[in-house]
Amino acid sequence: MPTELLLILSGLIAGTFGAMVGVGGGILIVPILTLGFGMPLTAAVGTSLICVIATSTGAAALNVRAGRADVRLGMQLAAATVIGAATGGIAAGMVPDRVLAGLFAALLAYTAFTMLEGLRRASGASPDASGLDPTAPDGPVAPPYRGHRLPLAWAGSLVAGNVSGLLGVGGGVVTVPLLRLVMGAPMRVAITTSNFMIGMTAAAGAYAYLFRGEIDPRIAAPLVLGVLAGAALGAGIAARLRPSWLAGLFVIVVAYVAVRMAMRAIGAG
Amino acid sequence: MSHQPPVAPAPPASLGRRIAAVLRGGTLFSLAAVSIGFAVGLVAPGPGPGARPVLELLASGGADALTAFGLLGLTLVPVAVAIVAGVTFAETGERRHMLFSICVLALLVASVVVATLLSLAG
Repeated sequence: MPTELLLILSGLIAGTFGAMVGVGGGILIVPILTLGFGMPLTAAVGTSLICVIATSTGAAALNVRAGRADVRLGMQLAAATVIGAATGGIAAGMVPDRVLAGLFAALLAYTAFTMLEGLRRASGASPDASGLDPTAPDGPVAPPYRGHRLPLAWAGSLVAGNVSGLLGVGGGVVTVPLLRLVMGAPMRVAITTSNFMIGMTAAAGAYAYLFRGEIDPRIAAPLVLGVLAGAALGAGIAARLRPSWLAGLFVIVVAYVAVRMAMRAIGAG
Repeated sequence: MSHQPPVAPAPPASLGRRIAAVLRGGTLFSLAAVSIGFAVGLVAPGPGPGARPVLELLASGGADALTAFGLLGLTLVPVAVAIVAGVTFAETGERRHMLFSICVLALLVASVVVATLLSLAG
């Protein structure tokens, strides 16, 4: 099968899966490119950031127009995520591949743990089960809120941006809990606002990779097209499946990929 | 003595409409360039250019330059969003949010400048 077709299919799978469980495709694209296609980690991270921008801008257009994303809150926090992402993107060129692989494995483990916690809470009787569950509804009308603890949110956003620029993910695994738990935004607002911010964050990180010459247009193009098609497909499929099954499957996949990345970090994979 | 007519503040909904228009338009335009460049590159003979700095790719011309143009355009959509948000906040008199938008814009532009300088420095 031609490489271009394989890349489109890989993007399609990452985009579909990512949209189905409410995370960006970046968390899967980097492992696919490094473990599946043998790309250097920094090149995979840069390519992934381009895909993250595409999925973010596409979804944010709908969310912003519908008033689901809080643009004002997003711009406040984006100031910090952009700094973090730009420094992360520059730093990635100086960090050894194996260190990046170790950091990515840690990020995957954290993501799997967060999803597992969301599943556990959703199955329990806790009234605050929606804390970290991206599929939890806010009810018919999102409660009024006022963003608070801005300095703490800025500090967290700086970390989220750095994770994004360094590891090629959107950073939603950090910003959604930050908006929800630190700033008190309703879950739906937290998810859509995080998605709006991700485009700006990923762009700040992507410039370093683009200008350094670590992105191959013939790899990035089919992947971007596949991821976008997959994101649209995944959103449709997710509505017909049980969120707990999806999350459970995602945890298994992410845990497996985390082990593979950890093995790469220690030179055993 | 003549008075300038007061500028009517943009209604709150216009912020969402404007930003959504920029996001949608920018994404579609960029993806059109990526798609055309990719399609032409598939039928063109010879291997691809590989991973090279985006400025070199743009200067090389041809299908891969068009793809690189689309990819670069995609990364510049958030810059356009920050500009539109800043202008809209200025119109509505939301000084605090205007300053945040300017700050985000300045940081994104600084990221481009630093990345360019570092790539030129080798």
